[in-house]
Amino acid sequence: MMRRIGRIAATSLLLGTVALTAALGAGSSAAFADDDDSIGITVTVTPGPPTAPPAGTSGSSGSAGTSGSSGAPRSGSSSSGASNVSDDAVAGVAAPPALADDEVDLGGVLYVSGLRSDYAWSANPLDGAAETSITVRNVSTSTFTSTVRFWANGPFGNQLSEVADVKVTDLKPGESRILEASLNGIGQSTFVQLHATLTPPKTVDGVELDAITRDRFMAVPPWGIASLVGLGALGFCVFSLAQFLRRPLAPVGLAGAPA
Amino acid sequence: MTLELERAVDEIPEQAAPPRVPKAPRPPKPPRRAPRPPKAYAPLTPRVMLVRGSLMIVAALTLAFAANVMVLSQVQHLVAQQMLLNEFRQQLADGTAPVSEGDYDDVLLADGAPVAVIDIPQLGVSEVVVEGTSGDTLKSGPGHRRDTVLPGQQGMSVVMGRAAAYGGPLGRIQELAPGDSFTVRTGQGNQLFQVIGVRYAGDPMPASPKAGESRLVLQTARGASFIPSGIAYVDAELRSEVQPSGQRQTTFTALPPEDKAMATDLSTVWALVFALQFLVAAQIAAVWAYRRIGAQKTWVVFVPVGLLAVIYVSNQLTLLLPNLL
Repeated sequence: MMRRIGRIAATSLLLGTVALTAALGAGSSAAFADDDDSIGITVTVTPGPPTAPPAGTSGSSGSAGTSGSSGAPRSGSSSSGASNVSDDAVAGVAAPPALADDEVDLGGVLYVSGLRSDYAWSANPLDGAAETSITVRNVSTSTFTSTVRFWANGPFGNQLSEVADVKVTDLKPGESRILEASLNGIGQSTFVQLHATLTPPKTVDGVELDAITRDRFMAVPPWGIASLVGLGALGFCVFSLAQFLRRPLAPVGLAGAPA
Repeated sequence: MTLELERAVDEIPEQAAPPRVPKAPRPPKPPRRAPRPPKAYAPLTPRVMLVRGSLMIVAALTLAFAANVMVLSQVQHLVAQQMLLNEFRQQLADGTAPVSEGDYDDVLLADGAPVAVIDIPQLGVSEVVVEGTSGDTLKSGPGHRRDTVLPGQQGMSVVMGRAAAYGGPLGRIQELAPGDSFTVRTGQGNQLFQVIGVRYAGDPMPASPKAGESRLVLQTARGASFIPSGIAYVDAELRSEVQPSGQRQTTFTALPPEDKAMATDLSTVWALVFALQFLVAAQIAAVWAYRRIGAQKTWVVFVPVGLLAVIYVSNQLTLLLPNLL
C-alpha cells in the first residue's frame, strides 16, 4: 500500500515538474519573441494635438461663509483664446502675457491641488480641528472669483463641521492662492473624510467650468475614548489590588512548629 | 548565721523549667465556596477537530496577511530600494542607465529594472523608479508604465506608485500644490518638473503636450489607507531641457492588463496554489511530528517552516489586491 502511494506521489511530482517547466519555457520564449527588434534612441517630433477645452465635472456647490486666503502672483503662464468671462466673474485682462523662453502653454483654465490636512489637538475631547488647505492656480487670461466649501464627515457619513463660501476673490492670471479652513468639532470621530469643493464661474475664456471636489481621509486618534478606557482599567487594577490586600490571611508557620 | 544561710541558698542548684508541650497544628479553614469540579468536555469528533483546525489556519493566515501588508511590506520595500539604488548608481557611473525600453545590450528591460530616481523634497520622497507597473513590480517602488516615454523625454510619461502598502511612496502626492517643483534623475540627466495640479477621474485634464514638451503624470490610489476609492493624478510639466525619446516596444494596446492602474495581478495564481500546498504539507507534517516525536521538537522545527509558508501565501495573496494600494 505504501509503495503504491509513493509511486502515485512520485508520478504526480514528475508531472507537476514537467508542466511547470513547460510553462516557464513558454514564458521565456514569449519574452524573447518581444526582443527581436533592435532598441536604440530615436528622436521623433510629432505635432501635438490642438488644445482641448477642459470637460466639466460634477460636484457640489458652496454656500455663504467667511474666507481666508493668501497668495503670490506667478507670471508667465497663459492660455490662448479670447478673454470671455461670465457675468459672475471679474473682467479679464486685456492681453495674455507673452510666454518666456522656458515656459510652455498649459492650456486649461484652473488647476487645483489636493486637499491637505493636519489635526489640531484640543484639551476638550469633543473639540479638535482639522486644518485643511488647497491651492488654486489660474492659468486662464481672465481674473475671476470662485468660492470654496470645506466640510468634514464622520465615519457614518454624518457631517461634523463645515466652512462654506470661502471666497477666492480676483484670482489673477498666473496667480496661485492657498485657501485654508479650520474645521472644528472633529472630536473623537477617528475616521474623518474631508472634502473641499471649488466652484468657479460658469464660463471663463469661453470655457464652461463646473465645480471640482477634492477629498482626503484623516485618521484621528480617539485619545478621549482611550483615556476613559485607560482610567477604567487603572480603576479596576486598583480595586483588584485593594481586594487582594484585604483578603483574610492564613496562619503562617511551619507544620508542627509553634506559630 | 546570715552568711551561712546565703551560702546555703547559693549552693541550691537551679531547677530547670518544665518543657512546653507543642501545640497541635490548626486545621485549615474550610473554603468559603466549595471548589468547582473540573469540567468534563466531550471528546471532539473528527469533523469538529477538522473545522477547528481549519479555522485556526484561516485566522493565522488572516493575521499574517494583515501583518505582511502593513508591517513586513515596508521592510521589503526598504530592502528593495537599497538594492535598486546600488544598481542604478552603478549604471549611472558607467553610463549604462537605460534611456529606452531596452538596456545597454539592446535587451528588453525586465520588470523591476531601475530606470530613474524621483526626488520630491516637499514630501520627503526619494525613490528609485522601476520599469513596469504590475502589482509585483510596484512592491519595489514606483513603476514607469512601459508604453510611455521616460520622464524628461518628449511626450507623456506615466509613473505609478502605491499609496499605503510597500512603503506607500506616492501616498502623499495629493499634497503637492500647483507650482511645486521636483526632479527625476534618468540616464539622460536630472529632469526638473513643475506641478500643474491634482485631478481625479472625470476632472478636466490639461491639454496634451505639444511637440517639444514633456509631461509627467504621477498616479496613485486615493481614499483611506488600504481602502482605495479611486485614482489620484498629479500632472507635472518639464521645466528643464526636453530629452530625445528612446524607442518603446510596448504600446498601450499591448500593455499587460495587470500593468494598468488599480489592476490586480492574476498571472501568478499558480504560485499561490503551490504556496497553499506548501502550507498544507507543512501542517500535515507538523501534526505527524507532534504525535510521533513530541511537542517540543515539533515547535522548534515547524514554527519557522509554518511562518515561511504563511508569509509565502500572504505575499501571493497581496498580488490579488489593486496594484496602487
